Parts: sequence; structure tokens; C-alpha cells
Amino acid sequence: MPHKGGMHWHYRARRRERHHEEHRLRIALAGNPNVGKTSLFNALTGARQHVGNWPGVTVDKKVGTRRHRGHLLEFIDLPGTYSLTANSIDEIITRDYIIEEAPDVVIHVVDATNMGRNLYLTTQLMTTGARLVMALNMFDVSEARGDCIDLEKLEEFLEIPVVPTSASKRTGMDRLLDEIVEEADREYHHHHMVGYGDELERRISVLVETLDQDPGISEKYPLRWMSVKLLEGDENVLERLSGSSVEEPVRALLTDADHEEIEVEMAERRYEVIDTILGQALVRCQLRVTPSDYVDRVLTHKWLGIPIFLAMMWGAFTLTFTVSIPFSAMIDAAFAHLSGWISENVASEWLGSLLADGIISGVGFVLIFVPPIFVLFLLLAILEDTGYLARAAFNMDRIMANLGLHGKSFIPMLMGFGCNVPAILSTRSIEDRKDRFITILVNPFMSCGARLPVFVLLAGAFFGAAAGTAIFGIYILGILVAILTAKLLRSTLLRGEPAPFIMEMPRYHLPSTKLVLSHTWERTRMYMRKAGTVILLGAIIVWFMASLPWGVEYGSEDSVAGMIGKLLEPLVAPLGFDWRIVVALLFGFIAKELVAGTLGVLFGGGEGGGSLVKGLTDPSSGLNAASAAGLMAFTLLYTPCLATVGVIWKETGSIRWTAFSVVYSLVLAWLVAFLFYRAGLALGWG
Amino acid sequence: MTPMDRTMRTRAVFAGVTGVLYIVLGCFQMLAGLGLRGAWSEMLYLNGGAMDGFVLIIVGTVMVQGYRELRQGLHEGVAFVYIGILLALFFAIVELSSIGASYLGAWTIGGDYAGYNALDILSPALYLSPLPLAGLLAWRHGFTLHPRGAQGNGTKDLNNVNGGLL
Amino acid sequence: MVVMSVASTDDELPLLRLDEVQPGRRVKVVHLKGRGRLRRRLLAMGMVPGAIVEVLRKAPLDDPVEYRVKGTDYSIRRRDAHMVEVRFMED
Repeated sequence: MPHKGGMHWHYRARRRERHHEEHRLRIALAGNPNVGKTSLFNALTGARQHVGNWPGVTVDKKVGTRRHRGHLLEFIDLPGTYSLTANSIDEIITRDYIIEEAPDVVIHVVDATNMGRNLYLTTQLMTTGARLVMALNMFDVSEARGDCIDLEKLEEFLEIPVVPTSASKRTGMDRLLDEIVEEADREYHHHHMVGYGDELERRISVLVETLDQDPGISEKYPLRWMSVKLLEGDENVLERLSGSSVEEPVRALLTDADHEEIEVEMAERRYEVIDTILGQALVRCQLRVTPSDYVDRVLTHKWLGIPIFLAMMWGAFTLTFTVSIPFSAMIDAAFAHLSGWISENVASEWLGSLLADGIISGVGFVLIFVPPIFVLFLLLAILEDTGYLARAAFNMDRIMANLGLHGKSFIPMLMGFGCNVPAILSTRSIEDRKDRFITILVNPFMSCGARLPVFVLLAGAFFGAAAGTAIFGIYILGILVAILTAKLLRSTLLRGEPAPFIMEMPRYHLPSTKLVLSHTWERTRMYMRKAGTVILLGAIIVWFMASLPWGVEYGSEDSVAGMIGKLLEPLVAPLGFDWRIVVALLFGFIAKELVAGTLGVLFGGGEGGGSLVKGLTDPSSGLNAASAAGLMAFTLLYTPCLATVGVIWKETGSIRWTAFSVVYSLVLAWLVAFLFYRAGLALGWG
Repeated sequence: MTPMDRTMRTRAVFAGVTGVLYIVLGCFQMLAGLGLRGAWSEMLYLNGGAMDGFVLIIVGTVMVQGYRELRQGLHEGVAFVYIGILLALFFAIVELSSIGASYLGAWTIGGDYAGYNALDILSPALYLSPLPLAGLLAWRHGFTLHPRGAQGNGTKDLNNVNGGLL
Repeated sequence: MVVMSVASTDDELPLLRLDEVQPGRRVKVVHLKGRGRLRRRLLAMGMVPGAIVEVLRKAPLDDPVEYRVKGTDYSIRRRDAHMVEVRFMED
């Protein structure tokens, strides 16, 4: 090869034995974020999934299957990564899967409009020894803008089958499948590899020889890959040698290695090779100023960028709440009607009550919030799909940095207004552990959609014309608490500087109606499924606890719920709450929607909105504007719902941090509610 | 001072006039929203709140910025005009949707909307919207924002790929 | 020789840090300072010595800054960009 990059042929017999179960092939999809990997996965498997512009949206391992020419292909969608270092969870997941699970073929999804950056991952994937097929995605886009990619040259240089595809138009899928099957069946596979120059190559070969002496290592890992990583000073790889007979000799070989310098040199070599390849295989239409640049001159403008962002957010929230009102009202009316019909027509009194007061009104109460949640998710999906959310993060990053938060924390915070569960899941793209934990732990303070009904109910009952302001104030309170908590954690338990924040800014897209709708529907369905499961269960439990022991007045002091409430009443008495509030808050732990639902049952006897407000404002309720303000604050801040606690546990992997979240928010809620109550009384709200 | 070509001059004049109108009415709407109401606010149908005013001012400022850049001979200034148009229409849609939702509510479950007539719900964002709408229709092909050096050829394709603006 | 003359003028231009470069300018990466993860991230995105970086725009509050490297746009905070030593391109 005549170019300076220095590449050499590399033949290797298949490292691992083949999977002999008949024609079952495991295919992993790897690639940079935002290259259409998830769309391609969907096109291949027919699964409905979410595609967005936020780098790192694909955080879960998604699996789908498909038959092709007598093979059963099992596809695994790996997280999007830029390289295979141990920089982030995403990168570790990806490389562990490729190295340890050894899929039969790895589809390397490459953005044809952006080959320079994408091929860096190619150089890394090649070193793992995996069998690669390159899907050159968005090929249509690159052609349309005037790029000319010489596919044959590219295949010749890389020695990887290259298939031009367009996941959005679903073209190239059959050829891709053919190539996958063919590559899996090939006896030998060969790749070009990056040569790192004499000095480094000598070091690599010494390391390979040393590692090869331990069969436990050489059978499990591609040795060249491992040697390169060791030279780069990858701790994660070094740890894998612990206990091996070669650990000491390898450490000895690495003592004089300046990892930082080696890393730069290797990266330089890789890019040299990439530039050489692209120099020959790509004639690019050079757009120095893209249409996105024009748009960004406006949307990230020095004076106008942030005001436009605020105006858009205001527009989105206004749309969400006004458009959904009549639909919510219709659902409400329909369920009230159904509930009334059932209590009249079901002969058995207890069954009628269970159905009408428990199940129907409980589930109906959740479904009322489907319209606003649908609209909010729809608008967020549009903003995400166009690429505007990345600009929002760009505009707001300085503020986030001052708060000790990460620029990438911005999107999870925003999503938290919808539901904290997906919001916490979306923190996975944050690389630094401390940054990530802080973002997770403050997220529940962003007031999710489920808490809104409580605010609407209480503010409407006690603050009249100022209800809107009161609710807005509660949202602001949540943001303030999140900020202060972040600051507190950053300066105490999770001390340290925020990790570097490097975010890819995708080009603006025209949002795809289909993707936006399916994304929105997916999220809304998640919410509705919750209505059908957790909340249904919650409603039944609430009903039983309010009805047992048999014969007591529904939800009265003598019921089980009432007894528990009475038991805990002294704890919240300083906040001006009585036992019924305790019961509502207790049930709210199952799902925050139940707070409002339970208040409805206990104060209104489940007879509909008008009488509920009367029941709440009636002197016998013991509530007044001051304690209502306290209750709103308490509902906002106290222990996140069961699902959120579960996700916090899962994502932090630490029972102690989960316990911290539970206790901290409970104590904080009590203190703030107390403060609000006392301040309210002092202001004469009593 | 580079002389503007004629098409840019039209856009500049449009942006200047529309922008000033939006800013002036935005300021009035903001004052009205903060409680300074009177016969004058009735006359201008300032039925919204302070935030509605703020939004109008933002839209107007984006337009005026477009005017200023085009006047300076900066071709990129059209981006401000076009995005100003889109923002203006977005906020008009927000208002329109609120009204639609109110009517739908009144029609289906009978809220207290009986007294509505068209003039009660008119607002600057709505009665100014024919201007940006006209702009959108007149220059709909321009919303692709031709990149430098790519004018003339491949425009049609660029419309279909992610080069397009919204 | 063209190559020679480019090399010699290059050396005469002063070194500066990436965060000091104003939007609209193009620079060539000379050296990466600092250690660890940031450096690794920068390398992975193509900020290798010799790479050409275009400074696109500043965020409204001056930080972060958007750069174009190898055809992709990134938002990078100033303190991180400070780790990159660059030199102006002659153009």
C-alpha cells in the first residue's frame, strides 16, 4: 500500500468456535451516536423504537429478530459511542459486548455524511477482531448534497463489506442482510489494521507475545486490541489481567510507557489512515456554511438565543395545558358517567363500590392526564427530532455549569417535568459518575406530570385567581431545590469539578412525522400502562384500606387507612395536616397521581370535582391556604414514587444512595412544608 | 455599503415593518398584561397576558435584527426573517389552539364560554399573523436556506434532505 | 518546495489556545495539553495534532463554544478548549 499511514494485511482464523445451533446468528449494531443506528435497527427488525437527536438516546440493549435466507438473525442495538475507550458506560457496554459476548457479526453503522469522524470507531472496531459489515447510512443524503463516495475503494482499503443504506427510506436492507450472512459464513476474515509505527509496533508485539503465554487470556481476548489498550493506559483492561500469570511481566513492560503520549500518537496514526482513505475514496462537496449554520446564527444568537428559548418553552407549556383541557374534561365526564352508572346498576353494594369508587375513579383519574402528557411529549419529541434540544443545552450550558451541573444534565431535567423515570434513564449518556449521580438525585425535584393534579386541585381550591401563579411558583420551588441540592452535593458528598462537557451538535432535521408520533405514542403508552398496572393496583389497595374492616364508613377514621393515618398524624401535625393527608401521601408513594385521587376519596367522598373543592375548603377539613401551600410543597419534594425509587436504585447501583434520596427528600419536604405553613399563617392565610 | 439586490430589499422592508409592529404591539400587550388596561387596550384587542407581550417582542426583535443585517448587506440576515416568520406563526398557532380548545370545551361539556364572540378573543399574535403568513407563502422556496456555493444546482434535493430549515 | 515554505511560515505564527480563537477563524491543532479523559475525548473526536478546527460560534453567555472538527460540530466549554494548543492557518 503506497500511503504513509502504514497498514498491513491481517489474517486471522476464527478466534472463537462457531455457534452450531442451526443458523442462529447474533448481530450487534455499533456506531457513533446520531448516525441512524436505531432507525436501522427498526428497519431491520420492524420494532417500533425511539429515534432522537440527543447523543446517547440509545441506552438500553434492544434485541430484535428476523429471518433471512434460512438464518435466524438476532439483532442487538448497542449504545452509540465515538470510540472504545473506557470513557463512559455506553462505551464500556459496547466494548464488553463485542469482546466478551463475541457476536457473530458486528454491523458498523456509519454516517455517510460524516465519514471522517465515524471511521475513527472503525479503526477501533477493527482491532477487536470482530467480523464487521459496514452500513453506510444516510447514503442518500450524502449523494444528494453532492458527495461522491467510492464504495469499491472504501471496501478495498478497509477490507470490510460496505453496504450503502438509508434507514429512513429503508433502502439497502436486503443487501445488508446478504452481506451479514455471507460474512458470518466466511471461513477467514481479514481486515486492514492501523499500523502504529515501528516503535509502537515493537512494543505491541512484545505485549502480544507475553499475553499469549496465558491461555486464559489469549482465548478470551483479542491480544492486539488488548496490547493497544494496555499501552494507552486503559485501567479497565489492566484490571482484567489481575490474577493472571502474565500480570507481573505485563506491568513490567508498561512501566516506562508514557500512556498519554502513546495515546496521542495512536490517535494521530488512526486519523492519518482515515485521512488517507478518505483522500482516495471520498470527493466531498465542501459546504463551509451549512443551512444549519444559518439557523444557528439566529437560535444561538448572543442576545436572542436565550429569549427565543424561553419563548418557545412558554409556547410549549401553554399549548400543553390549554389544548388538553377539553380532552381531559371529556375523559373526566365519561368516567364520572361510567362510575355513576355502575354504582346504580351493580347489585352487590361492595362490588359496585369497589368498581365505581376504587377502580373506575382511580384509573379515570390517571387517564385525565393522558392528554396533557401526550401534548407535552409530542412537543418535546418535535424539539428533540429537529435538533433544537442540543441548541437549548448549548444556550443554557453556562448556567448549568455555574450550578455545578453538567450541560448534559439539562435534558434529563427538562424531561423530569414529564416523568422522572425516563428522565433518570436518560442520564446514562453522562460520562462522569459524580455528574451522573448528582443529576439523578436532583431529578425527582423537577415536578413531574403526576404531581400536577395535586397542585391544580389545591391551588384551585385555596388560591382562586392566583392559582396559576401558585402552580408556577411550585415549579420554580422544585427547580430551586434541585439547584441547591446539586450545589450541596457538589460541595460535600460528591465533591469535585464537573467532567468536561463535549456535546455533538447534530444538523437540524425536518422532524419526521412518523418518528415523532411513534416516539410520543411510546412514551404516552408507558404512562397509560402505568395507569393499567401500578395505579389500578394502588386504587384497589386504597379502596380496601378505606373500606376495611367491613362495615365502616368508606375512608373514615375507623378504616385501616384511617388507623394508619391516625397513628402517623402526630408527625405531620406541626404542618397543619390531619390523618387524611397522611393517607393520601402514603398512597402517593405508590404513584404520585394517587395523592390527588385519595384526597378526592377522603374529602369529597368521590362525588366529583365540585364537591371535592367544597370538601377541601370546608372548615372541617382542617386545611387552609397556609397548610395547602405546605401540602403542595410537601407533595413536590417528598420521597419520589416507587417507580422512580426503583430506577434510582438500578441506575446508581447503590442502596445507600437510594436510601439517601428517600430520606433526604422526606426530611426536606417536612422542613419546607413547615416553613410554608408557618409563613402562610404569619401572612394571615390561616 | 453593498447595495442590496431587489429580492433582499423586499425582505428587508417586510422584516422592518413587521418587526416594528410586533415590538410596538408586544410592548402594549405587556403593559396591558401587567394591569395597565383602558380604552386603548380594548381598541387594540390586547386580550393576552404579559408573557404574550414578551413573546411578541421577541418575534419582532428577531425580524428587526434580520432587517438590520440585510441593510448592512449581510445575506445571512434572511435567516432572521425566516425564523421570525416561523416563530410568529408558531405563537399564532398557540393562540389559535387555545381558542379552539375553549370552543371545543364549550361545545362538548358546556363551559362558561357562551359569551364569546370573535372580537373578545382577538389578540395581536392573531391579527398580525397574516403578515408572516404572507411572507411564508411568498418565500416558501427560500426556507431551504441555500448554502453558499450551492445555489442554483441541487436545490431540489436539498429541500428533501436534512439541509432544510424546519 | 511548497511543503517546505508552508512548514516554515507555520512555525513563525504564534501558538495560542483554542479558547482564545475568535469565531470565524480556522486553526490547526499543534498539541494537546492536560491528561486523562478530556484528552481522550478530544482525540476521539479528531482533535489530533494537524487537524483543522473551525471556530463556529459562541453560546449566548460566551461559553461554551461550537467548533467544527472533521465535518462534525461540537460544543466545548472554554476551560476544556484551553487544553488545545493551536496555530492560525494561512488563508
